[in-house]
Amino acid sequence: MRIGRREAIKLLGAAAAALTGAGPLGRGVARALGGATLGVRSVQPGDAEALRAIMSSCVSDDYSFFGPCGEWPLSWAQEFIERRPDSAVVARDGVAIGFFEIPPMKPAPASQPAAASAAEVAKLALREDNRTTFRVTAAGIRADLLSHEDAVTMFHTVLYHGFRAAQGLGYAQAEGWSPWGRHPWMARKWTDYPGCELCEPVAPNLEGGRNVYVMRWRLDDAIAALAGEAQFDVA
Amino acid sequence: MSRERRALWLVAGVFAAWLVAAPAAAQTFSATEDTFVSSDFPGDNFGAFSFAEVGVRDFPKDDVTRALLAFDLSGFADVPIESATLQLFITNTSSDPLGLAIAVATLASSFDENTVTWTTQPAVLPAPTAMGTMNTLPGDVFEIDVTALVEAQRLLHPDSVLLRIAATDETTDETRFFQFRTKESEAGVGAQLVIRLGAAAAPLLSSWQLALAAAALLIIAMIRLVGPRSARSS
Repeated sequence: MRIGRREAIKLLGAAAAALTGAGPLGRGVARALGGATLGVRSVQPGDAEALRAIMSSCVSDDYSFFGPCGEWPLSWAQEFIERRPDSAVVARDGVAIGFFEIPPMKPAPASQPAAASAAEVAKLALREDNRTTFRVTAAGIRADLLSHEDAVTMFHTVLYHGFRAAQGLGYAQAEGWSPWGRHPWMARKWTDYPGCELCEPVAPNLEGGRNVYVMRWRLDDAIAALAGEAQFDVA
Repeated sequence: MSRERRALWLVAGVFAAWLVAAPAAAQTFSATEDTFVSSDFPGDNFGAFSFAEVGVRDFPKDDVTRALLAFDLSGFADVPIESATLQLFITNTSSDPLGLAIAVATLASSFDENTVTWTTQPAVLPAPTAMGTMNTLPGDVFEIDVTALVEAQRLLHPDSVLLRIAATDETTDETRFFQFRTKESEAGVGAQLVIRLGAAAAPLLSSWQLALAAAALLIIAMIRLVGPRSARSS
């Protein structure tokens, strides 16, 4: 089965929908998820079945934006783990309950020559901007195992730790392509969150489907904003 | 032969040689339409985006992007050309160097960058095609020779050149894509087509060939004035 970016966007959409009950920025309440121990780590080969389950639970026809959703085979999860080994996972008692895609980073360029011209400096700045920006096409939480309120908190937790893991690798910005600027369930538009801006005009869908919104998060600001949202305690 | 006459012949000879060897005039055309279509967003239009994308994203697997370009050559319909080069200012690549094999083909019909989508993209003509490998780094200009395409296209549409850029292998299992600036970018300039006009089309003398001719005449005049005086002083 071939899985397209639109399916991944549906997943992001489902995760974003969990923000329905999001409180005002600055609440910053950390709490435990039942009696479970949560941890953050990189994705591992043994996570394949859990990732498949996350995708299957997050993306249903109820949240379909481009027609009926497909199934998420184990091979997809295995390929994801192989190709995105830096992706962050939030695990409950060792089992992945949420994940956030982080692609491999381009290697750092050779150091800038001391006597670089203004044009050369601009060129190198463009390359560095490219290198430190990644596009998220897959992320999700095990929504079927969580209450609505817990799903909201888990989404914040996954996003916060995913952004932090990406920042730790050297990324400065994350880009996402979304089928809406503000999900009908969400209290705020994406761009109402600090550090998030629309970086291209909205791409209109001319066949009655969803428009495409290209957004970019500055990780510094986004992490600071998410730190103020309700989250689960993570060891 | 007097020194004055020798100088005159020398200047005239150099100027004539330069005229013969001078390159044909080049004309730069900016894209009037430049956008891309995406298989993953088959109904969406990206005409207002500041970039266009070409390539394949491996994960998820089925996203293919192709760029569509249009150039207005009205006024040059009957002008012979020596060469045509497509120039793209690269803004992003999935890896450096990218090593993406691409094919530039001519479109069978026109398109509107504000309405075209993956679903409605024009068909391409089977030949000719310009093949190349995109290895240019962001911030630099990628060039590819599209002379044959422009000549073929002008037989169909004398006033316009319609091109599609795509990866030659759109089923690859690797992420390889690049983005280039469109006219909607802050720079206001997107893809460009540099056409070197044939001899019949080039003006007999360009503005700075005329300037050089004037300078040559000035030198000759000075020789005429100064030469005899120098001769007398010696």
